[in-house]
Amino acid sequence: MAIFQHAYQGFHGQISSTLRQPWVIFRYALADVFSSKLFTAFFVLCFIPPLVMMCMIYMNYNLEMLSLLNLPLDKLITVDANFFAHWMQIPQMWLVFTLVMFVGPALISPDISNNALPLYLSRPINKTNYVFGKLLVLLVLGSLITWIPAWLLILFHANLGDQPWLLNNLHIPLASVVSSLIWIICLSMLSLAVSAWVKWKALARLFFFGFVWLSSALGAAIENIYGGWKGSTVSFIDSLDVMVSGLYGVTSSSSSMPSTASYLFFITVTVLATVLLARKIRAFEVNL
Amino acid sequence: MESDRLKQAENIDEVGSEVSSHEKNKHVAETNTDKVAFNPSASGNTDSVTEPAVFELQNLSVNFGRPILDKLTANVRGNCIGLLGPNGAGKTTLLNTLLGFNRPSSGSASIFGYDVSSQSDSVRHMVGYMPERDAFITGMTGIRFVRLMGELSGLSPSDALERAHEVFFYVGLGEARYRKIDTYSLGMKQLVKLAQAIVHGPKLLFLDEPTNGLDPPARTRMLQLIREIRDAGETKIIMASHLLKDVEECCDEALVLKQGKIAIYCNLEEERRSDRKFLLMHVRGDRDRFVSALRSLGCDVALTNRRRLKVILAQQIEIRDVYMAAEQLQVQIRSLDYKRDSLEDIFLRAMEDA
Repeated sequence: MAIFQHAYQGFHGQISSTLRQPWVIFRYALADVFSSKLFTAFFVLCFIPPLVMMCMIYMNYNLEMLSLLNLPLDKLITVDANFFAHWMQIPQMWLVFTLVMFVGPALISPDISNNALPLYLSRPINKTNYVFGKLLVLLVLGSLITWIPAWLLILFHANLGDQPWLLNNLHIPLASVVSSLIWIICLSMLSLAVSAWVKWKALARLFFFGFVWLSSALGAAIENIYGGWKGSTVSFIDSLDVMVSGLYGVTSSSSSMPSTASYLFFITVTVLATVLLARKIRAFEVNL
Repeated sequence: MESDRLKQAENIDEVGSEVSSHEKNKHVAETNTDKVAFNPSASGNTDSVTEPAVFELQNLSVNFGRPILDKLTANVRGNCIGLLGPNGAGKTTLLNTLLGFNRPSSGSASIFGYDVSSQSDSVRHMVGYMPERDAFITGMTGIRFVRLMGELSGLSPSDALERAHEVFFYVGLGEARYRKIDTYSLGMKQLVKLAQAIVHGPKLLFLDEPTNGLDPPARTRMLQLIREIRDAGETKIIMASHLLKDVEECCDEALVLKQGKIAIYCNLEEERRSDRKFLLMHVRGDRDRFVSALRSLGCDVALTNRRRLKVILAQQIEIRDVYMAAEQLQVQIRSLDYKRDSLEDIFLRAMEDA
């Protein structure tokens, strides 16, 4: 069907596998995300903390620079699991939260409010592929600002320092990946669920923000009233700290809750969000 | 055309029924599936009989708390099939079920022999869908939207882009393809919906109320596009509409639904063919002998009531011959009328009968 012919003809070319469809959704959604200059600026800023930390690690091993800047050696930070957990991982996790809050609610709600789901689901793409394609955006962007720079820093440190350091601390890169993925997936599913149920993007962002912070406020209130760590079981802030500390093998500064409880919290939130999402991702609403 | 008509007449003679040929092609839902199946092209093309049905329903029921579709059984073939029915008849539900959006409560449905529930991937590779309501992704230009839909249908990015340009020109929106869809008029949005539905060259195109909200020129344009797609022969069309005229202009088959059941299923192409020599007569006298005389002339006669006859004249027979036969048998022809059995007549009758 050449343009000049203006006559209808079918398509006789190659049709690709259905496995490629989530990738198509990812590609288009990613392009939409980066069409916002504000987001692009924010995303670039997310790399500044890792860069600062890289400089700190570099300075740790550069005596000439330390003497030049007249910095006392005893006040240098120790690059260990605690450094990666509390200086690198947790701050980057909250940047992920901001990123997900910005991007997540805009991924599904426009499709629902504009009735685009029947267009997706009438094609060789199912609900799972659709959600996976959207999730992939958050997963990739989140990874780029959490465990990928963390790994680069770890490798950088291992390269500058003693070679056995990495072998003796293999749990650190592992903890970085696992904690990042748990956090990103949990927040992403929550934001997608909110996005599916709240059609207005701004309101969906507010809901997502409120859900995370109100749960933490509720946890703090429960702890103040009843004491112990029971309040931490509904708190995103405490659960994140406990999970990261547990995986890195350092002491949590916010709660005495066992790590298992924090995993349970994230799994529960993810499962609930998935159920809510599954109920909403359909071609048509059926009014009984 | 002449030979087709003769073949039809022969078939009618073989069956030996008293119903006219167009009545023969109207099938009430309760009839056996085998009887419902017939060749829509109605031109004696036996090849298409061996083709799998465009869609087949086997006791298909869909419930949403209450039954929406009730044990539908049909074997539908044709190039363009119209789904008709009053509001709430189940047209959109049937369409959604065929698209795999609704799960059947019982029974099954298949498209080109592929079960819509268990082989939905295969089905979705073959279909294009133009929904009734506005369905877009905001903030996208027309070309990017259609390209995305092409890629989601399995086209490579370069093929999808090429096809997107082609279909935009085809539907007549070539100049507007770089504009954001949000800025399109209603008529343009309808055309974009059609463009995204055909970008991957589907074997079966679902059109849900394609002329909704269009002004007369836009409606004419849309119907013309649908006819062109139909006539290209590469794509079968299922068109749900409440506008009988639209269905009549585009479709060669019509499936009329009422309260979740098939009220009637007819071949419009054969209806059109039979229209020209379709006579409705009121007679007084020896009706049986008159009927025999007409049949001996090669006419097909249906008795609608004690005095009313429906007659399809054979090729060589003129009305004058009918009068002569009546005169010989001393039969009075009290009235004689060319009756056009339009889709509206069929539809209204189906609504009364069902």
